[in-house]
Amino acid sequence: LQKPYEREELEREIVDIIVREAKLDRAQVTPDATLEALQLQSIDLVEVMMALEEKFGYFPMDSSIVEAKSLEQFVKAVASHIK
Amino acid sequence: VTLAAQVPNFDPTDCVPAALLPLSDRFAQFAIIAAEEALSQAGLPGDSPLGDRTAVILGTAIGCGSTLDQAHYDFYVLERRVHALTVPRVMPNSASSLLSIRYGCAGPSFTVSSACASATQAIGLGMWFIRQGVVDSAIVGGSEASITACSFRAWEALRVLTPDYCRPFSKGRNGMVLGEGAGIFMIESADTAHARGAYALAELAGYGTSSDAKDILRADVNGAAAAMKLALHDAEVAPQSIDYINAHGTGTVLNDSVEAEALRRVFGSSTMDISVSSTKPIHGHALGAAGALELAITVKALRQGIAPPTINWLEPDPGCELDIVPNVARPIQIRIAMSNSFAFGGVNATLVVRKAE
Repeated sequence: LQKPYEREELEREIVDIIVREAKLDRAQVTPDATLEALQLQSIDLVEVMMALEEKFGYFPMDSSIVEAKSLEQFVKAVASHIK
Repeated sequence: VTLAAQVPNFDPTDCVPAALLPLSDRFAQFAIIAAEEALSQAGLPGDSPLGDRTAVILGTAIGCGSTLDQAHYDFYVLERRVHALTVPRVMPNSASSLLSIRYGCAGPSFTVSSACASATQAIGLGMWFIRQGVVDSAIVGGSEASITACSFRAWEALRVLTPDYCRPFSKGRNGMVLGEGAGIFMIESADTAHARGAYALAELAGYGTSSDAKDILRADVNGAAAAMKLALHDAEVAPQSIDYINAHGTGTVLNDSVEAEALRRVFGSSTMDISVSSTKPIHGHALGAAGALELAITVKALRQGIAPPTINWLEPDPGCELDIVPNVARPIQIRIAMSNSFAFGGVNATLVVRKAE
């Protein structure tokens, strides 16, 4: 995934999964939205992670994912694990 | 993930009375064995009933693990009938009820289920019952044996299990290790203990419990700090008097930083003067038994003057600035100690113990 457009495509897919699993309103989902503002609770994130794992295979939940504050940080942290 | 802290080669026929075997799940068997040890140490061999002034209050997070697993397998996969004693075995109160029956405790008996705070709440409630004069003594503690192949995968899916090493409060920590077991205590009012000439291991001095009222999984600084403050208040001790803290310290990224922050909030500038350790990498996270196992360790630490170590520790995490007793036990004077349990559901519970006079 060296090419930028592939990276963008991947990040878009991750956002799609988050929107679907956490039942978010697509209009609210901007990169700088905080997870708190999107009202993503721990259980939403667990379901998001399960769906991501089903699509992309297992990856570890490291501190960059756990401590992500904004949607963009979260998506980039997840994307960094996906080959 | 393939790592768990299980009781190896456990054969209940060796140590559980034959009459109780068909009635007991593994978690109740652990409780029966631990209770026998506790009562024998307390000088109460169980040959006469303890009567209606004794309660039994035990904690369990899940309760039966293997019995239900077996019943489901028999029914859904093998299409056989389920064992006729499945119901009494799967009751979460089976352990407390079996102890009540075995020792003739006719006072209140029940089970507290509040995930990883279960045992700590059970012990604290037992102390409050005694203080209020509801009973004179209580068998308290917790028991857990919920590691089955299926439940293990469920924990793994929550992404809280470490694939390699549980290293609480350390940089590079990546999760907890599931454990199992039971810890049982015989607690009595001072008068009751004196009257029968009992030898006290420690004084259970205070209990505090609070709820985050926020998120079902994510721990909260305010809730954790509140439980510790309430326990200190209940024990009528100042934060500076605490010499050792057995932390909840699961080894997950989030729990440990939240607990460290809560400790700083309660202990302020004296935080770094207190030896704090998590013993979970040694015995595993025994969920509803965790608080009982860790209180037993805390009492032992108090009696022997040794702060047990936080093993597998690598290097400081700036988010967990504590004196964490890294890797090697430390001899210290301990007069008053604290043990923390924080649970999914946002339940927080803390016990304070003091050296027996």
